Amino acid sequence: MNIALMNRLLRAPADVARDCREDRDLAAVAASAIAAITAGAVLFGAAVGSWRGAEQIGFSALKLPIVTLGTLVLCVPAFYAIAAVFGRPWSLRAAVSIMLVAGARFSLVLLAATPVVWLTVNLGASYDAVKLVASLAYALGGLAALGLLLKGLGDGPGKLATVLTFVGVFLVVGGQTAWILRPYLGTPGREEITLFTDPRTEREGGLAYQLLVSVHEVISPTRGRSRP
Amino acid sequence: MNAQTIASSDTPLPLPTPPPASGPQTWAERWLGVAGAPSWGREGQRLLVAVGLSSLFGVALGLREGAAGSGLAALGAPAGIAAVAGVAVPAFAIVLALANAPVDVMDLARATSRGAVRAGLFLAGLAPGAALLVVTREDAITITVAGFGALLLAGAIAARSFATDLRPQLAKAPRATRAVLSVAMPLFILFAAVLAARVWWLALPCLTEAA
Repeated sequence: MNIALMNRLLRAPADVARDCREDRDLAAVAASAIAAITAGAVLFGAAVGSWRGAEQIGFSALKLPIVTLGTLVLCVPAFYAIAAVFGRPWSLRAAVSIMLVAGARFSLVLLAATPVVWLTVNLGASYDAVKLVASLAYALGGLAALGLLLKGLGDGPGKLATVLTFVGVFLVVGGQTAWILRPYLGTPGREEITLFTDPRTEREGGLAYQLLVSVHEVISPTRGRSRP
Repeated sequence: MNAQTIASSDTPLPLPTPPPASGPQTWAERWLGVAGAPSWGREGQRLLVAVGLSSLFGVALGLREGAAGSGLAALGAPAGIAAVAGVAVPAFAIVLALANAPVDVMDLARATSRGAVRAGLFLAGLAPGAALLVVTREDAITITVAGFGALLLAGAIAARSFATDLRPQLAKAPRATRAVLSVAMPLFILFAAVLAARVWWLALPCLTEAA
C-alpha cells in the first residue's frame, strides 16, 4: 500500500481525482486503493465481529471486504453510465479508478473508526449500540467518499443530478449486498455462530427496518423481550 | 417524408457544439456526442445501441424467471424506448410540421436517438445492481418499485435530452409557433411517458408480480 498516496487521498482528494480523470499512473493507484479497501474492511469487520467473539471475528473480517468490493464492482457500471448521461462521458478506466479511490477513502475512515468500535464492544455495549456505532462509522466513511466523488466530478452542469442519482443507486445496492451477507455482529439470542443468516427461517424485515428497531432499542430498551 | 419538408428556414441550423476534445474520444462520447454530420445510418446505429444497452437491464430483471423469462424481459425493456421512437416521435413530427416549427426531420431523429442511447446507457449501468436485487429479493414489491423507478428515471433522462437538443431550433421559431410548441412539447413528453410506462407494464410481467 502506497502510504504517500493514502496521505494525498485524505488531504488532497481533488488532486487524486484529477489524476484519475487524466489517466495518470492508474495501475499503481488502483492497486493501492484495493489494498486500502481490503485492509480497512478486514480490520473493521474483525472489530465488529468481536462483539460475539470466536469465529464471528473471522467471518466478519472475511465478509466486510467482500461487501465493500462487491458493492464497488456492482456500482462501477452505474457510476460510468450516470456520469456519462449527465455530461461526463469519461473512459471506463477513469470511472473505475475514481470509484476505487473513493472506496479507499471510505475504508481509511473505517480504519480510523475501528478502535472506537472495538472500545465500544470492550466496554460491554449492547447489540443495538454496537450496530449503531458501526452504522455511524459507515455513514462517516460514506461522507468522506462522497467528498472525493464530488471533487472527482469537477465543475459543470449535471453534477448534482449525477451525485443524487448515484448515491441513491449506491445505497440500494450497498444495502442489499450487506444485507444478504449478514450477520456481522452475530444474531442476538442465538448461541451458534453462522456464516450467513438463513432467509428461509429468519425473515428480519430488511435493512431499513432493522436500523429503525435499533434506534428504538437504544432510546427505550426492551430488556429481556424476545427480538425478531 | 423528406428530411427538409418540415424545416421552414433555408439556412442550415446550428447544432449543439461538442466540448473541446482533450484526448482520444471515449466510447460514451462517441455515442452520446453530436460530433459529425447526422445521417439516417448513424442515428439508426445509435438507436440499435440504445436497444442493446437497455436489453441488458431486461436480462437482469428476468434473471429469476430462467432463460426464457430473461429473454422475454430483454425484449420488454427496450420495447418502451422503441415505442416512443417509433410511434410518439413521428406523431410529434407531424405536430411540429403543422406548427411550421423550424425543425429538420434529421434533427428530430438525432434528438430521438441521443435521448434513447442516454436512457439505454443509464439502464445498462443499473443492470448489475438490478440483477443483485432480483436474485436476492425477499419480496416482489422491492423489484416492482426499483424496476419501475429505474425505467421512469431513464425515461426522464431521455426526455430531458430530447428537449434540450431541440431547444436551439425551437427558440428560432416565430412567436406564435413558440406559443404552440410551449404546449405541444410538454404534452408530447407526457404522452411519451404514459406510452412507455404502459408498454413496460405489459412487456415486463416480472415487474408486475406485486400488483
